[in-house]
Formats: sequence, structure tokens, C-alpha cells
Amino acid sequence: MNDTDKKNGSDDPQDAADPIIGEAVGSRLKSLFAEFSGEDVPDRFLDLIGQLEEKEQADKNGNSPTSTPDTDTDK
Amino acid sequence: MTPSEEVRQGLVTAIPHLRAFAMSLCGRSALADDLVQETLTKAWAKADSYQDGTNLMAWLFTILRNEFYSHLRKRKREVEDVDGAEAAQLVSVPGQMASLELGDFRKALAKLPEDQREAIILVGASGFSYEEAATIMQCAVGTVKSRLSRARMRLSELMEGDALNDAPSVDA
Repeated sequence: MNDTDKKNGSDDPQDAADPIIGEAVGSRLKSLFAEFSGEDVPDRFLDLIGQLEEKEQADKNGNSPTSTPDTDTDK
Repeated sequence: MTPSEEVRQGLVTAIPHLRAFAMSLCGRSALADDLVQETLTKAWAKADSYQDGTNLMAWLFTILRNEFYSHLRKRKREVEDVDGAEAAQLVSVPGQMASLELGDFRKALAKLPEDQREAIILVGASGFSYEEAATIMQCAVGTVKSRLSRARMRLSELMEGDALNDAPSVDA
């Protein structure tokens, strides 16, 4: 991450309100975003990264992966 | 192609923020999580196009945004619902703020046009600069500012009586 990332997702009340958005709207937005980002991360995402790593390792070794991430979910 | 350690670790770190962005955009947690999954998968596959040291979060948000609009194009009729039904389906999660005020705000946010909603989320909630938001939204900085202004005006109209324009601060 670089310096511009440090405020991403921040709910620091000391963050200055954006002059266009204003403090009232800005504080509600930050509260809402903090609520969403504060939720527990479902296992499916960490499992997915694990599967991607596993597949990559298998490819490196010239082996077929034991499992392939199912990226084509039933959309 | 091997994702750098920066990208791999960045993906894990970014998941909560990506989920929050996705839920802010589309409100429905199932779709939001699908968007995050697609984003993680594509980011992994395209890791060689990411330059270490640049703004990884912005890069990931751009991928997620593109996935969102791709989804909109595919299922326009379903996602086009912005007049109440979508708001009614907004996620209700354990531990969420019970404030009716914030609930009303959430519904108002869901009624914004997508371009205004993403602008106000990126700058007002995610903390991106105007320039970063413009890069993510693939538009000019001036366009970001005008969308922000319209979004605030529209939110104020939707939340009429909630004193969005003159309340000094809001209890969390």
C-alpha cells in the first residue's frame, strides 16, 4: 500500500469532511462503510486465495491442481 | 505469472474494503460477495499488470467496479430496480447500527444513480482522492466533483427533514 491508501476505509472521526460532500453526509457514509467493512470476512474468500495459491504451485511443479477455484459460480 | 507478495497480501487486506464497496454499490450481500470473488480471481490472474508500489486498493476497486457494471449490463432489468424494492433488499446484518436514521440514509443512498453513488462512496466513504476516484471511474476529476455535488443534493432531497445540510455531525 502506498500513502494514498492509508485513509481507504478509514472511519477515523478526525478525517476532515470532504468540502463537496459535507460533514453530515460524510459522517453517515463513513458509518455505513465502517459497518460493512467491519463484518467478518466469509471463509470463501480466504479459501479462494488458498486455492489460487495451490493451483499456482501445482502449475509451477507441472502437476495438475488438486482443485480448481470455482470462479464461474452460478450467475 | 506469480502474484507478488505485495499483491497477495494486499488482496487479503483489501477484502473487507472490497466487500464494503460492493455492498455500498449493490446492496445485496450475495451479489456483493460474488463481485468480490470475481475481483479477487481477476486480480490474481492479472497480477502481472499491477505495478508494485502503485495504489493497489485503487486497482482492486477499479476491477470490482468494472465487474459491477458488467453485471449491470447482463442483468439490467434486475439491478435497475432503484425505486424501493432494491432498498428493501438491502442487507441487514447482525450488529448493524440500529439507528433508523442510518437505515433511512442507506435507502436514500440506494436510490442514487449508480455514477453518483459510486462517486460519493469512493470519496466520502472509502477515502479516495478526487484524482484516484477519477481513475477508478475512468472519468475526469471535474466529473467526479459534479457527481459528488449532485449526489449530495439528491441525498438531501431524499432525506428531507433529516437536516443533512445543516447537522454538524451525526451520532454513530
